[in-house]
Formats: sequence, C-alpha cells, structure tokens
Amino acid sequence: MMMDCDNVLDERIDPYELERLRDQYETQVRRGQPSHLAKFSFAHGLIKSTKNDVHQGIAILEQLLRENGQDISMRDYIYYLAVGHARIKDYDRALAYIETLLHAESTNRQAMNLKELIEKKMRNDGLLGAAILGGGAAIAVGSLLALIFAGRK
Amino acid sequence: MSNSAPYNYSYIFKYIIIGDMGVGKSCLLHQFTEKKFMADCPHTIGVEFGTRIIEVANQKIKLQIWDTAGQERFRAVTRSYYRGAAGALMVYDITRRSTYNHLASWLTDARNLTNPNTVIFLIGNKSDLDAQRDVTYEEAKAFAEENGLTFLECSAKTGENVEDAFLETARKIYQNIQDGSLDLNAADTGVQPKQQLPRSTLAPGSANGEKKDCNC
Ligand SMILES: Nc1nc2c(ncn2[C@@H]2O[C@H](COP(=O)(O)OP(=O)(O)OP(=O)(O)O)[C@@H](O)[C@H]2O)c(=O)[nH]1
Ligand SMILES: [Mg+2]
Repeated sequence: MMMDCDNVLDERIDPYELERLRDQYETQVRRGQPSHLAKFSFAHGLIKSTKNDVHQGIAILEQLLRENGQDISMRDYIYYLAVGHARIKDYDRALAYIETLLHAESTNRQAMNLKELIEKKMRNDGLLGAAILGGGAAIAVGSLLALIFAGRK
Repeated sequence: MSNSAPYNYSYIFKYIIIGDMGVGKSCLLHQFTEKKFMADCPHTIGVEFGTRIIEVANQKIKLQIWDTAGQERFRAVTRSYYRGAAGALMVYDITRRSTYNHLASWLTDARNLTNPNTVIFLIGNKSDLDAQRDVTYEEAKAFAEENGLTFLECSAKTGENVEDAFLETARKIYQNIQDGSLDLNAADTGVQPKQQLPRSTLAPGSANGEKKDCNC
C-alpha cells in the first residue's frame, strides 16, 4: 500500500526490494570482494529501512567514503550519509554531511532541500539551535573536508 | 516541495520520471512544480521528490512525483521506485539520438516493473533546441504509436507542453479509475483515494522496526 510520505527522510523501502539488493550484495561477497556499486546499492536500501538497518547502511557508506575519497560517487555517499544520520536523529552529523556536499556544490537544490528537511525535523524535535551552536557539526565538517581534499591531491 | 493542506484532495497519484541522464527529467519536474527553469542542474542523486495538486474533472488530485537519477550507477537503486507507479513519464532529449535509442530498454523496465494499468507517457524534451534536433517528431510519434504510448515534445526551458504531459497522464489514470479498468483495491496501483489516508500521526521517520507498510 502506497503511503502519503513523499520525502527522502520518511520513505520506507519495500522489504522485497531490500532483499533483492541484499542478495546481490551477498552473492558478490561470497565470490570475493563486492563491487562499490553493489555495496552502495545495498547501503542505500538499508538507509531506507529500519533503525538497525540504517546503522549498517551508514557503516558501509562510511567505509566506501574512507576507501574511495576520489570516487565520482563520493557525492552519492555523502548525500546518503546525511539521509541516514537524519533518519536515526543524529542531526549533527546529518548536517555536517549535507554541508560538506553544499560546500562542493553550493547551488545543488536537491542538497538544499535535504538540508531544509533536516532542519524542519530538528525544529519538530525541538533541537534546532542547540546542535548548531554545539559545534559538533562544524568539527565534523572540518575533518570531512580535510579527508576529501587530502584524497584529491 | 511545499505541500498544501494534506486532506485537500480526493486521490494521490504516484508518478515516476525515467530516462537517460541529462535529458531534463529534474528540469521538467521543477518546471511543473515551480514554473521555473533551472539552467544549471547537477545530476540527481538517487531520487528526488516533487508534489503538486492538480484538478481533473473537478477532483483535486495530489501528484506525488519521483524523479529518478538517469546515471547508470543508480539503476539498481531507482528500480525500487517503479513498483506502484500509476504514471511513468519516459523522457529522451530530442538533440541527443542516443537518449532516444535507449528508450526500448527504459520501456522494457517500465513494463516489467510497473503494473499493466500504469500509464506510460513519452516526452521528447528540449523542443526549444529545434536547430540541434537529432530525432524527428514523426519518428518518435511512430515509436509511441507502435508501443501504445502517448507522446508530446516538451521544453522544460520554455515550459511548452510540460503541464499537458503531466495533466494528460493524470486524465488517463482518472479515466481508468472511472471505467473500472484500474481496481483501487488491487496492490501497487499507485493510486490512493483520500479515505485510505490513515496514520498521519505516526511519524514514519521514527524507523524502529514497526510494521513496514510505507513502501512508497
Ligand atoms: N535548452 C534546454 N535545456 C534543458 C531543457 N531541460 C533541461 N535542460 C538542460 O539539460 C541539463 C540536464 O537537465 P536535468 O534536468 O538535470 O537532467 P536529468 O534528466 O534530471 O539528469 P539526471 O538527474 O542525471 O538523470 C541541464 O543543464 C538543463 O539546464 C530544455 O527543455 N531545454
Ligand atoms: Mg535529474
């Protein structure tokens, strides 16, 4: 049944779709090293599933980002890391990731929309203000940028 | 992506927009929802959402539109959005023949992954660039007819025919509901009558192992 949820923070992946992505990933794991694409697709599915799955998805994406800092898919990893963290209400990190993306693509409307959505969630949870002033996000952005630019040179 | 009053419509129709990267899917969506053209638009990451309330036969209908990324590497990800689409806008770029040549494969995916009632609409985008045209209107029209698709050339830049493509698709879906060929009780029709909008109080974002009935 389709639900009236129409944003990337509220949507839920169809369980069958998640299983399909998991199968592809696990088949590749059994054969050896899974491709970046299989890892990313599976992680993306996990990010849109339940809380435990989101944690696993985040772990996979963080590993992809660490190991493939210069990959053209870097923006995909960063975007979905923002989504994943927002979904488990780790808003500091969610903002840090989306700011990182906006730093590289300052006019990216999809990224701006996500940032707005995260801020709206924070307001709903009574969190906006504290987190931003807390400085946690700023620190995380700094180290992320360092990581990415180090990878580029 | 601002929604107006949530209960202000009779149906939700779900659409997907598919086609090669760079053909203008996101620009079409933006033109339709914001009436603006984005000259400099980065590749979509995964999927983007847009909504707009329209009117068909004096009924308000909320279109819930999923704009998918055309880049090859998102194919596994975007496939999950086909199911439960009432309408599929399949887009090519009239100035790039390769995007037209790939339509057969997009159409196969659309047919295999949606339901038989899904209305598939073919859009030849960038009609403002007639001087650089690489696919004739007649050729695409013939392809559309062979495959039972409705076809329009549009421009996300000037807005030409953009409304018509989205609205015509909705009219066809509505007609399928009216004449009974689309069974509202069937699964994954991509159509949801207003009466069935429950649990607006349950924040799906809370993502704690509860029942997964939100698979939009
Ligand atoms: N002249 C002209 N340019 C257009 C039109 N529609 C889109 N463009 C341009 O084409 C480019 C790609 O448009 P997008 O909407 O990002 O393409 P897309 O299909 O969403 O691409 P992906 O997200 O990668 O799948 C952008 O630079 C747009 O400005 C149009 O109707 N006319
Ligand atoms: Mg796009």
